[in-house]
Amino acid sequence: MAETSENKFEIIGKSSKDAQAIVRPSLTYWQDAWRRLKSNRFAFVALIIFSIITIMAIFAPILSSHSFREGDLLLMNQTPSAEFWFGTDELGRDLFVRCWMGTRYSLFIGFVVAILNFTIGVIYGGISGYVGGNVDNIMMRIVDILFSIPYLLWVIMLMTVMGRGLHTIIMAMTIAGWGQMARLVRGQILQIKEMEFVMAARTLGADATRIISKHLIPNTMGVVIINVTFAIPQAIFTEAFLSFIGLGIPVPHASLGTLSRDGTRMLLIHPYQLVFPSVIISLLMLSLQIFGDGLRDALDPRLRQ
Amino acid sequence: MAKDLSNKKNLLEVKNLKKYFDMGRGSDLKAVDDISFTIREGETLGLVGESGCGKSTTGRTLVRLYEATGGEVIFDGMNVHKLNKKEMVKYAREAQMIFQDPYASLNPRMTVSDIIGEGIDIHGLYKGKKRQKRIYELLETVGLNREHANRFPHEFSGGQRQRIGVARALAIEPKFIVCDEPISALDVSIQAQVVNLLEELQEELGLTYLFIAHDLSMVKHISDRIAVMYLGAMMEITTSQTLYDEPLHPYTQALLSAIPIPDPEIERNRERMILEGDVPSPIDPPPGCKFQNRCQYCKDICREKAPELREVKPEHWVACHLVK
Repeated sequence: MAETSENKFEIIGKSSKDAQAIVRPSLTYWQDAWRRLKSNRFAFVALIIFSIITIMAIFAPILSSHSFREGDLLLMNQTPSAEFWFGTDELGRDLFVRCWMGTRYSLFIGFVVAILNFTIGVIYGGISGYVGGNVDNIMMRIVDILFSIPYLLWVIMLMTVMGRGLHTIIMAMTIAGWGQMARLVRGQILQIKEMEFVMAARTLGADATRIISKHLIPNTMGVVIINVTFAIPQAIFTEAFLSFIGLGIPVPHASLGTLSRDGTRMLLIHPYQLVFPSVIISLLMLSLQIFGDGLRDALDPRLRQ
Repeated sequence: MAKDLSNKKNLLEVKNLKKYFDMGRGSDLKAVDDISFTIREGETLGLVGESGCGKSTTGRTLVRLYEATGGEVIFDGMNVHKLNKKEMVKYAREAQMIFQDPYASLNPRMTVSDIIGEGIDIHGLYKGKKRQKRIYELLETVGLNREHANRFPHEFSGGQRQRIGVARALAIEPKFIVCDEPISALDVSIQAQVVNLLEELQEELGLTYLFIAHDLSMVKHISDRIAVMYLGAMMEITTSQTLYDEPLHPYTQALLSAIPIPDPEIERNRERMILEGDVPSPIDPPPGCKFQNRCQYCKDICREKAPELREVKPEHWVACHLVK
């Protein structure tokens, strides 16, 4: 070992104040998540594709000169052209407008169902987890019993009882779907309420309202939002499936599911009638799934770098 | 740390405190089983014992994070477990807590300023600019910078976080702080910083501490008196010097012999007391003395009757049949 002597070292000075300084710029949780999401190329592309589909669904039917409900029987089953970008269907209706109208319905159903499930699930699961004990036991057994019936069976059953229509689709899917969110939120709350920062708040004299609104809910939001992004494609898919088996939105309205069903009948003669709606469904599902995945990576604190 | 505290009044009296956890099917986990002790004003009482002996449960029951199963906690004349909601809010201003895990004890979604300010907001102590000023003061008191106020917990190191936890507890000017293993999750080099901070604050603000730990040498350094717990029961309470010089309870003796001595010569040649067997389950503790199955001096009486905590010498309390 080399010899060390006093004069080999030189005091360069230190300030104890600087030792505590943090160089990294201060970012909130959401800013940090956004930064990570942007650096995830797949998720970002998915977000852009999803945004384009959404924008088209909102504006294409408004800006197009064709109507989604009225067709010209003389122009039925036209192949895609400059006039009809996606062609026309068997009643001569413009498929371009119908496809985006269908996307609009699918997205609407997906979002509304996800938001309803989110609201009911957070309230129900939140109460169950926060109160705990026997209340939690009873509330969760109710969920277990209700959701021991498979999801699709539930929806089909409710749909046949309530009749067809936009409202009933949304209602049936909400009744059948809120349990998953409730279970998730309850689990999160149970875990977080035992953490030391919640105990610290209780020691400081915080009441239940404060603990729930400032400590429990903000800390469950990450996981819950990830789940909502996965619930949207699931709802869209279920709706498409229901429409496909004839339980969907009644004519003349259309969803991506009903359009695909109509398309299958023409598959051998006019394949483009199936191709367009199914491509949109696939892109929508894929982009939402990939985006949800990226969001999970961005929000999950365990992967924090 | 030799403070003369003999003429100070008792700030906290714990009488026959019990905390059982319901484990279902009629069995209870006896985390704290009939313990009594007092803490004087301005004193630091160290509470030591191995993992799972009920130290943290005791601390949490004192600030009423847990409801006591039996017994009383009297703080400055108030019976803590009989207080209603409104009085509890007042009690919160008197007794605070510092937690063990600096990573779990700060809400990751709140800024440092909001974490420290939470108590100020709950009790409505300061508003607006004064609140901000108070938070800056507190940050500087615990050795952090003003610029840290708007940052989030994940941006800090363990020691810095623990200091934020200290500032949070100090924000509402309590008299009594339960320190629940505040240093055991920290690096040794950082431990001293936090302990020194706690000592300085005690001197400045006249705080009273219950210092829970399992690091005996650190406890000796900070405590005026030390209480030793085993399996939910109190074994020995005395001044920290006496505890180290002449421990009377066999369990205390074994604990002390486990401290390594920083001298290889002595360390190599000394004889350690090694405890045989395991700690019995707190769900079904043995009748009589809780330490009986691991005590080398165990007699018949130890298996029949639980020893009471007796004052065998002034300021020296021991729960053992064999100590005369």
